[in-house]
Amino acid sequence: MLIITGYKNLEQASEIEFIQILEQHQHLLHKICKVYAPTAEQRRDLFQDITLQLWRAWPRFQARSKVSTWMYRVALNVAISNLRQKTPRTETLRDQHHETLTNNTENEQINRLYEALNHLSAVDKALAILLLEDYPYEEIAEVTGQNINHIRVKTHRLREKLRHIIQNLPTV
Amino acid sequence: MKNDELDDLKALWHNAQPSESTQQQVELQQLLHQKSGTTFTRMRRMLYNEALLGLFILIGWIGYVATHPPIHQEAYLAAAQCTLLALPLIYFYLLGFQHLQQPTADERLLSTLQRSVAYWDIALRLYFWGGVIIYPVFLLSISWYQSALRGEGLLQITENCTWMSILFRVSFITLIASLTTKWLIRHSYEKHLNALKAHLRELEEL
Repeated sequence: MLIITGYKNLEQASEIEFIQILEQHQHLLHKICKVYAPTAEQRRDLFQDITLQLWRAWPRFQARSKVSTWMYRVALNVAISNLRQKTPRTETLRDQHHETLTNNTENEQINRLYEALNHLSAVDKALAILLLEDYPYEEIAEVTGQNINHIRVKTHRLREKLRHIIQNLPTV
Repeated sequence: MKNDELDDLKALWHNAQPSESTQQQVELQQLLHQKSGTTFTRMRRMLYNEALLGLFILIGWIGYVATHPPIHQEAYLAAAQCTLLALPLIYFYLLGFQHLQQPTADERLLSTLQRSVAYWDIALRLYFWGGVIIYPVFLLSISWYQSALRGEGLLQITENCTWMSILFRVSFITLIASLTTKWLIRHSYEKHLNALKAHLRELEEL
């Protein structure tokens, strides 16, 4: 519980509250960054962009939806509309190679999942993330702005697409 | 994909730990006070800078005219024409961008994309016509002013050439200006706008 009286002003209290929430949910943002940005540098930039946009939108957040849903909405908006120029191929490959090495000891399946997501379009990535987060159709519709039937059809196709991609991924 | 396969993926997703290290509160707080680097912000910043550059060039031009009095007094007309035409254009240019409703990131994805596309469609149209009009007006005024400096009659514009050749010159400059502006748009903003339109199409279509 935040005690506002101890702070100089409401703005400062609001900033502290925001930072606490951000710290709590930052793993969610890092996951989105990992799906949308191929290199570590791009992920850092995207994380910063999302954080700034969240902070700007913070005064309008009215707790009508869950914090995580609101964060997903802002983060996916930023990630989709803020696609930067493609990284030179050499850098991407070097970065991927580095990640493969470091993640070999980690979960191979998780890597495969990220790799499969990487094959999707920006919009499909957003739907896939929400689907994997186990959001109900209503909430996916709320985040995307599409109606539930539309989302139902889209996610059904997406599941098939994802299955097809995973099946065709080369096994290491 | 069967439900149990999807459930496996969901479990994987929930267990996934991003390679990025968790940031402390102090680091997160620092991020809030940094300059925004989003594509939108950069594009807006670039447009503002271009408008400001135009304004500075105009101020420089006024300063030049003021410090180099022409032999032919009518040259002031050319300078005034340049200023009077360019100044309101720059003003409306800046005003237009200020009043265009910029989409915010906390709206639904579909409306953010729709508003972003609408925003950049208008902004780039404004940019294009601003460029197409400002360049010829500015260049013609300068050439008019130059001829006045040499003491040539300003108001006898057709003395040494026909109206057809003047029309041809104006059309040529306008064509060059429009091609240049189009090229600038294509290489700086259009790619991003097309990507946004593609995302919007994809989200809308079933």
